[in-house]
Amino acid sequence: MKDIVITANRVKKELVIYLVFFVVAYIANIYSIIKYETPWSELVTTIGFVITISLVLYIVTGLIRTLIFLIKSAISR
Amino acid sequence: MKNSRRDFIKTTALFGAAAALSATPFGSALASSSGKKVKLGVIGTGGRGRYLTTHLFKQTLTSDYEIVALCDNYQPSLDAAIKLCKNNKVTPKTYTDYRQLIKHSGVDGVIIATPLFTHAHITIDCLEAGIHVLCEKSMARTLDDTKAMYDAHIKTGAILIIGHQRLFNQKYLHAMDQIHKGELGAINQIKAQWHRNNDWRRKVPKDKPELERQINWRLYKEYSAGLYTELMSHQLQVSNWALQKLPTSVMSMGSISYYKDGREVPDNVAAIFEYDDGTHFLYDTITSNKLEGCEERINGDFGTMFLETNVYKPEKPPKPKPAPGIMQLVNDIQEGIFKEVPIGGASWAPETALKHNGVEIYKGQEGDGTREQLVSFMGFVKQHKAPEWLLREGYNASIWTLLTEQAMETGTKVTCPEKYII
Ligand SMILES: NC(=O)c1ccc[n+]([C@@H]2O[C@H](COP(=O)([O-])OP(=O)(O)OC[C@H]3O[C@@H](n4cnc5c(N)ncnc54)[C@H](O)[C@@H]3O)[C@@H](O)[C@H]2O)c1
Repeated sequence: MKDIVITANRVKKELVIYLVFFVVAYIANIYSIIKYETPWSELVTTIGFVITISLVLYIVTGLIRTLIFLIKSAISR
Repeated sequence: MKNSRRDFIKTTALFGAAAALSATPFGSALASSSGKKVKLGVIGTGGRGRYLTTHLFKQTLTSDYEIVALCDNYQPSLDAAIKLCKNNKVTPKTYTDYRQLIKHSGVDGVIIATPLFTHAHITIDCLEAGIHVLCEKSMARTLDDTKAMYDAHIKTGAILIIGHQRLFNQKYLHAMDQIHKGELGAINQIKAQWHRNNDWRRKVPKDKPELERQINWRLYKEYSAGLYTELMSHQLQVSNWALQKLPTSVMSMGSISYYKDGREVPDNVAAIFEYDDGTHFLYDTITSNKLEGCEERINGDFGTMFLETNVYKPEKPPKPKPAPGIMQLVNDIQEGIFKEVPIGGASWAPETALKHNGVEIYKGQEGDGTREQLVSFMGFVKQHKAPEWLLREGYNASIWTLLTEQAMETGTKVTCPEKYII
């Protein structure tokens, strides 16, 4: 059985991708505070939601990326 | 009667100011009057009479009175009241004939809690003897007797007030103040009901079946108009009080549909009263289901007051605290994605009831106004005067209650004959 090797580069790339989603979710939070006129303290108090949303986005795109990777490797075989 | 709006506002203000001074709207009258104790008598020591006597013993607002006489023509009732007094270390004189009480007891005031059909002659005899009277509601069994009681009060100048305790209840006083200030907006309808699930019968001793009519006087036409005089009169008084006017006409239906046990008064009634501006008071009583209990509901265009249960529900309920912005955004996105696209269907939707619990009308309510009513009565007796409008409230509720019975019996819309308007 072949070992799966996760390189430091891969980890860094995944962290960057996650960070992008976190920033997107954070900006969405700022946007919704302005749009729904809710208190700015929600930048801190809803951080749990922001992290959850960013994780959901990361997982969903991760699944899509895996699917693309699998299709690609099947074609190139 | 022409119950002028100004008159009402004046008296309501009197209530409001005095209420702020003490626990009873007229309690201040007691403080300012002389030290002489009010000598009280109770005529009719049945259920209500003893309840009121117990209240007199329990109340702590004043000790400026003494119960000096009791009267009942049914010995078990009298004995029960004597025992009650004895338990409170009081030994009043006792009578089985109220005329003897009038002659010999030396009372300043009496509480009359006898059956409806006896109110008029007992009250009139007391007033003519210069004795002040708190007579239980409803005033009398007939329109003429009701008017005769009022006339006797006018002729003698002795105080007469009727046992509508809501008039002394802080919660009602507060609510009426708000209603009259227009805080409920325009009132187009008042709804009230008194629903209970019992046969309204009192136990008659097995060996004395001949006492049936005497004990269950409420169920026989000769003595009472049943649910109309015993229950509705209270709530009709509230409706008139809230609207500061009297009805112009009434329609009613009533039947004996559940307790076919020989009673002569309906076991369920419904009535509609109309006021001069088209406002309606809708009323019903049933005796076979108590889900909705007793309630008076004042429907204004700004909100609804539920007076018995002390709840106010604005038409525009206060908005609940909004969800965090980010949650609202997620919701909106979700709704945008999953929204159904209407391609047909109903062009209307039923307006279901508003769903919110409302807020308390008045905080700190204790009791139903009975205690305040009794204390106020003693204050009135001391001062030899009471606000006239109190009697007019009782009088008009009684007159219109009897007119409602008439509407039911004749199957017609009834108005008030000129001679009963005060
Ligand atoms: N304000 C309220 O909320 C309220 C509540 C209950 C009753 N009430 C009123 O109180 C009155 C009495 O009701 P109740 O439930 O006590 O009735 P009840 O039958 O229990 O008591 C009436 C008493 O009066 C006595 N009586 C009859 N004729 C008499 C006479 N000529 N002289 C002296 N005593 C006489 C009877 O023997 C009886 O003991 C009624 O008018 C009723 O409508 C008012």
